[in-house]
Amino acid sequence: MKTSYAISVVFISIVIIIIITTFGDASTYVSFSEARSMYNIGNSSKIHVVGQLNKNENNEIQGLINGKNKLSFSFDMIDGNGKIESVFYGEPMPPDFLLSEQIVVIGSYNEEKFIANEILLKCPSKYTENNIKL
Amino acid sequence: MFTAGNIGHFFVVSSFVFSLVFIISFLISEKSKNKIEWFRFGSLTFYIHSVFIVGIFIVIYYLIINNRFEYYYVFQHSSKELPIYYKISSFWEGQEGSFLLWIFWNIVIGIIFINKPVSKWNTSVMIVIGLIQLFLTSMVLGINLFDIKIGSSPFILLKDAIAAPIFQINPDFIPEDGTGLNPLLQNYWMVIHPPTLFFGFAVCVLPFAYAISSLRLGDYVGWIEPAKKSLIVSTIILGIGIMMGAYWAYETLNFGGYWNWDPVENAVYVPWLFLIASLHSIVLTKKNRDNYKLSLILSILSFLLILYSTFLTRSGILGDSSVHSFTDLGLSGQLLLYLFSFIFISIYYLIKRWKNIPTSEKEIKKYSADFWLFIGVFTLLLMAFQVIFPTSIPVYNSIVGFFGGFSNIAPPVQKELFYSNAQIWFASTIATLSGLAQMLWWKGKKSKELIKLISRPLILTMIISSFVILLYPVNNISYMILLFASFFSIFSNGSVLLYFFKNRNFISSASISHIGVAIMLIGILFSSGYSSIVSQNYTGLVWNNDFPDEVNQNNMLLFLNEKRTIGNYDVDYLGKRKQLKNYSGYINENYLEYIPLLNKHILKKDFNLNGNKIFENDTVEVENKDITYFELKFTNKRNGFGDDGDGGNEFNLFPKVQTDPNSDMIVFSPDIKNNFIEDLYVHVRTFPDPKQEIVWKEKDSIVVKINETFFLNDYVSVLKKITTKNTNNKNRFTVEASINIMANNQEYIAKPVYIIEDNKVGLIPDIIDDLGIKIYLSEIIPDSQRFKITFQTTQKNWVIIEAVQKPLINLLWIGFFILLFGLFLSLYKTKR
Repeated sequence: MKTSYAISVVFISIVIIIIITTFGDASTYVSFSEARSMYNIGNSSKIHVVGQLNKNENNEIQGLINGKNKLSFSFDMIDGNGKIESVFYGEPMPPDFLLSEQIVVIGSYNEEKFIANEILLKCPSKYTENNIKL
Repeated sequence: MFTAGNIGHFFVVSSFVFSLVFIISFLISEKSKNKIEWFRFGSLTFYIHSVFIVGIFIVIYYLIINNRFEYYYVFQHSSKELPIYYKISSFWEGQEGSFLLWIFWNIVIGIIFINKPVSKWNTSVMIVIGLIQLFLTSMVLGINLFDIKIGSSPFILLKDAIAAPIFQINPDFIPEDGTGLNPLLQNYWMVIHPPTLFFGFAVCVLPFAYAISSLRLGDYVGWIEPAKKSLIVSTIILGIGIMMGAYWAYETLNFGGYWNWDPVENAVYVPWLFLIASLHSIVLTKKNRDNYKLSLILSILSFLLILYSTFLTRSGILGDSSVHSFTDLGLSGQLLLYLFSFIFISIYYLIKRWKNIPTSEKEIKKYSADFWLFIGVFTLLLMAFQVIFPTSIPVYNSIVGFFGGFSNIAPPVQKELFYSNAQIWFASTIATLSGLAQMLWWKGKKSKELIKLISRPLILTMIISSFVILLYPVNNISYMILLFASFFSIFSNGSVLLYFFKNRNFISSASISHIGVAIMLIGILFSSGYSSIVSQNYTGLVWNNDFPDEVNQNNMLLFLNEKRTIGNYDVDYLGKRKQLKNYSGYINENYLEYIPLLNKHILKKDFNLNGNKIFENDTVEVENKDITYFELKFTNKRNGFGDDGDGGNEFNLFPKVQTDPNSDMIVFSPDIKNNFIEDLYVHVRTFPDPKQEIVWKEKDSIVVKINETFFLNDYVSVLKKITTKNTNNKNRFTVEASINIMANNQEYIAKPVYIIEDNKVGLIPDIIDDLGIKIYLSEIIPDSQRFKITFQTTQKNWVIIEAVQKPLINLLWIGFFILLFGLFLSLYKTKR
């Protein structure tokens, strides 16, 4: 039975290593205010913020500024606590961005703005519009 | 009332009911004395079930093809203008359609099984398939039972699905057009990739069904051979499905690469690794009549992981971490029930039979082939675990949340590095083991033979890999190890292949598959590890201060017909192109004049499009108005390799940009120059925004006669003809000039128009986009038969591109085909 024990011990230890490194490298979902306080205490690790586009009653998107030739853009995002923050993204607007019902920005604060390194959208496979365009 | 939707819904409900009927029939067949009769009855009810499924497909296609936008599913996924092949694929854009695709493949598999001779295995497999059909058809049921939503029907009416205000005013409102297929998915891969992937999902049920049947029937030997065969088939089909997705991502979606470690990709990669682990485990079981437990568990887990991945991608749980999971249809509970039922069934039978499953006390001989194969199986499992554990992070948050806690862990930020850095070590181990175990596999060899077998590949590996490492140079330790391991796998498996082919006239299909995997690994190593941007900005100019630094540094701004250097090439931007319906090839946008009323274009001059002559004033239709191609001419600067002309020295690429008229959405797709050594991957980063207003310079004028040659902003031009057009309106007089402009070695034609109506003059200028020139016919001087031509210029047309070299990416595809060949060969051999 010796060999199989040895194999199991090695197997289990690798499993444990994988679990530890995963949690070591894992990021966190936070709100804008938490992200801000992380930045203020000098923690520059990248975090996830979940939120939505800032829309008015007529479903118009607020605070959207396209950079020169649409190579970058910034937009207003409301996080889960209702805080509105301007987010800058140094890449062209992702397809389906304006149709998204939920946005996850991955990045960190840099002085005044929240700089996103990556944007994830919920809804790219479908247009779940509640209004029919006439 | 018998509407199409009602009929469709009736088919769904009936297919659900009949799946229950055939399960019960097959269950009775197992116990009854009249096995054959009950099996026949089960088969009959299965056929009825299948007919209903096919009926659902027919109804949905009937609705899609007839543009019945009063149905929510059709409204959501299709539109009038969609070509027929995209209408076909719009079927599986939504969750309901993709479930139906899976259901469809299950009936195909079921039909194969009920036509086999009646046996306890086939009956039991049919019961398991039936159970899956029962669950899958329940996902599209769309009925509410005691306020619980069971399934989501594809036959819901729009007015029932969306509470839009219009329906209060007009309950019979039917929208003019649907919202259509997402432009990202308007691609031929969308037509073939999902059906293949779901076929893969469907066949994965077979190893599971055999394992469960083995436990149910208490027969641990009979399942091995058919399960092995089905494992090979599953590996092949799911593998093809995954690689199609990878190639799609690489070739058109412009995700930057073929693999992005997105949770949706991970969710199919992991079951695939499990299938391979199961296959190797079952090979061991077959040979030693041992390790039944491991083989059973792995075959079961492979399918449970398929169900788990279905849950991940469809429950909406990945919404915060994936780019392309489905949206939540409110079916998470049902999906979870589905998953847990199958886990429960598996655990129940495993526990029930655990003590009866034969085991041997025989210890595996250390450092034998079996030993290494065993290690290989565990390495594959760890490799899969390293991916599925972090991918499941959103699930942990939900579980903690479910029990009232709070957890906000998110997946690792740099997921490419996080996964690749770990996977490279597992891949190296796998490659090494595949070589080692393969050489030791054949027992009874004399030690002399063995030494000969091992020494040669080792020496070859040493020489070749050091050669590559020094020359390329590869200077990353983990890359060196992977390269070394891959070469070792190629040479050791190669020598096994040669040895047995020469001495025993036997082809080792396993060796072929292993070589394929090793070649894939080398392809992945170079194309990902050494992919390099060649469009570095060497000009010292900053394209635009507003651009992010990365854009200014890694991209090249090209003005029309001005050469710049990218990598080893001189690159010339030749202008914007369109594709025409019914013609292959690309046509300069400037040769087309748009007629808005007809939604068609007329040709401004004769043109030879890939050998097809089309003539001036011909009416043509543009394939897709929203797609523009940017023609780029590449000339290799390193001439003198013997090939003159087109032999790879000169080629044109057509990266594509698709805009969406309804939104700001822009989809950039690359064009790829495929060389054996490396791919040149070129895509547009940005181009002058067509919606932005053009700033024109001051006007300039010249007075000319017909056929007079003059200079229009330095271009030699001729006023070719003046045509007058009489319209029905007698008060209206229209004059059109036709001016030929010679520029960039081609002839452009401008057709400005001069209109007099009720003594008022109107000018319609013509813009030659390529030349950045706007031309007016501004005055007619009747006395001297002269015409005044006015023109304005603007900045020349430009485009900013990124070009990336992906070395040896072809090895990835070639290696995969070799792997497939090996798998097919082993399938063929087990069939005999």
